[in-house]
Amino acid sequence: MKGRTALLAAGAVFVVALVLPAFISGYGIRILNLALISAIAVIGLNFAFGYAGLITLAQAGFVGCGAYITAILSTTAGLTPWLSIPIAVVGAGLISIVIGLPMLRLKGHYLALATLGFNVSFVIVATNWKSVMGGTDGISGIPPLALPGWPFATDHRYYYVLWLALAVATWCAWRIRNSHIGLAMIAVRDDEIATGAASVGVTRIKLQAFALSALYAGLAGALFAHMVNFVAPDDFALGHSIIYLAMLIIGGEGSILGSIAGAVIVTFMPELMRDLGTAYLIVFGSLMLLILIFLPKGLLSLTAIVGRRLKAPGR
Amino acid sequence: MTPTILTIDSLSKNFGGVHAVRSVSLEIPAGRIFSVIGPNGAGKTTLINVLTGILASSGGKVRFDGQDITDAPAHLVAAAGMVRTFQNGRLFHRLTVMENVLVGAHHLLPQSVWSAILGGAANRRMEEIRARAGELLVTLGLSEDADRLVGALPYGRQRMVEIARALVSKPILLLLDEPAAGLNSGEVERLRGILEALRTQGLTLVLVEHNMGLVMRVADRIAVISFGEKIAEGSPAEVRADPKVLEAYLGHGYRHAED
Repeated sequence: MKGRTALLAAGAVFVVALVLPAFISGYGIRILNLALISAIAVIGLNFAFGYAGLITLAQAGFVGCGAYITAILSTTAGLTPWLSIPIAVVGAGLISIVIGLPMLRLKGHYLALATLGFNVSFVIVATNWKSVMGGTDGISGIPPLALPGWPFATDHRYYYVLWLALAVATWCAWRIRNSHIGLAMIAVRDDEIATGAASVGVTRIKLQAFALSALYAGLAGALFAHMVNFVAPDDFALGHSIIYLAMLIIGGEGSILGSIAGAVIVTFMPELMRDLGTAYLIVFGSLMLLILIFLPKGLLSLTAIVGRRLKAPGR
Repeated sequence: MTPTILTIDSLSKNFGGVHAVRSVSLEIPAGRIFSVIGPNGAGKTTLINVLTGILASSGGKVRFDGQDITDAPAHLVAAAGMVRTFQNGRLFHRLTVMENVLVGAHHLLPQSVWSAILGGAANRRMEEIRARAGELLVTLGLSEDADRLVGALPYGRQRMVEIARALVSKPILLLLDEPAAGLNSGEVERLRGILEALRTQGLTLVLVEHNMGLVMRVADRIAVISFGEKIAEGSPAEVRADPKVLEAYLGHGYRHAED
């Protein structure tokens, strides 16, 4: 019964997602695309923060790694995006392993500071390494992803690419969550000593969670680069890492669907409150505070609470 | 004489100037219940923590099942077949009972993320382990609780979850750190039955325990530790009759307070 409802829900989401672009204007679809890209990055962050409890403020830096690697490879090196995107994903993952090996010895706030340092360093390098990363001007002229004779040059077309990428990313995340690897990640956050004593290599599991978060970030960054066809350091600054964290917490840390919901809500919120101008930040801040106090498990936990209420009286 | 499975050779652990474990040597016979007792603060838990790679030793050697595991990391000690439970019960509160148990089998499964995504062999092995975990839950009286969050269980049953998590890893030797603490008398009886059944299956048990009733009934051999030192070892009857043991427990003259 439960499996059937889930299947129906998935089918409904599929149909809605398929026809949605037909009803959305050019600007709206751009925002939606950005939301889908953020969702991929936030699902990744969920591995490190939501499951393994690693407080990382490096997510935007890894998104930047993915974006710049594919940007450089597809412009200067002339590689097709079909090759440069996977290389960018792997590249972001490798960078995370290299910096993760020393950094993951740190815990809690110390890890947060070290990862913050990585993100800040990334922006400084991107700004100053003009010959390769283009400095403040960034890299322009990044080609769109294209099938022979059919470039995904418009946002309406690219939407389907992003949608497919998000679907695959979600499926992989769901597989990992339900495997022994996912269990071990959650266990590490709950009790690191007991996890080690239960035969889990704690360092390895943390590194896997951290690398997964970077792989997802790398994918998000690479997809972003081929949508906007231009990358500059500002898009990957520390502030964005904090927004990814906010998305995860607002949606529901430790939950894949929560990650997606948080990314969509936080991306659309400034658009829905455009009339408020900068006062929007007050609303955003208050909302964040209310969620942290009343819904510490995120907005998605509302559905569970409502579901229980509906079921409770003699149903 | 049964063969020795675990040899502890003059193992020490200092915290600064405090000698928590002082040159303790023990030979744990395979397939028996070996109990370690001693007054509060005697260093029993520290001894277990050093054995299982949670604390680094300050001296001495540990040999288990033919290999030197002195200061090996915790997960490798567990994978080698020496698995422990914790004094205060350490469980994963965001996971269900079944999921808690499955974490214990981590070393039996492939370690790469790919294997988790692609399934295949990892999935089949996971199904075997899940089935075995299900049987363990039945044996330990937890069959109703498999899908409940572990925090929702009463204390006594949480302790059983820990034992199930240790057993699912197919250990050779099980170290139990005060498994009877906080259990009511009915639960202690049940625990005794479980320990004896495990011994019958050939498992070696090291039981650190305060509940003397339980220790005297199940232990084949007992070592007594006081102020970090082994002060006696022998059969339950021998240990009970040893004047040094009585002194350690009853505090006749505080012999150790002088040094």
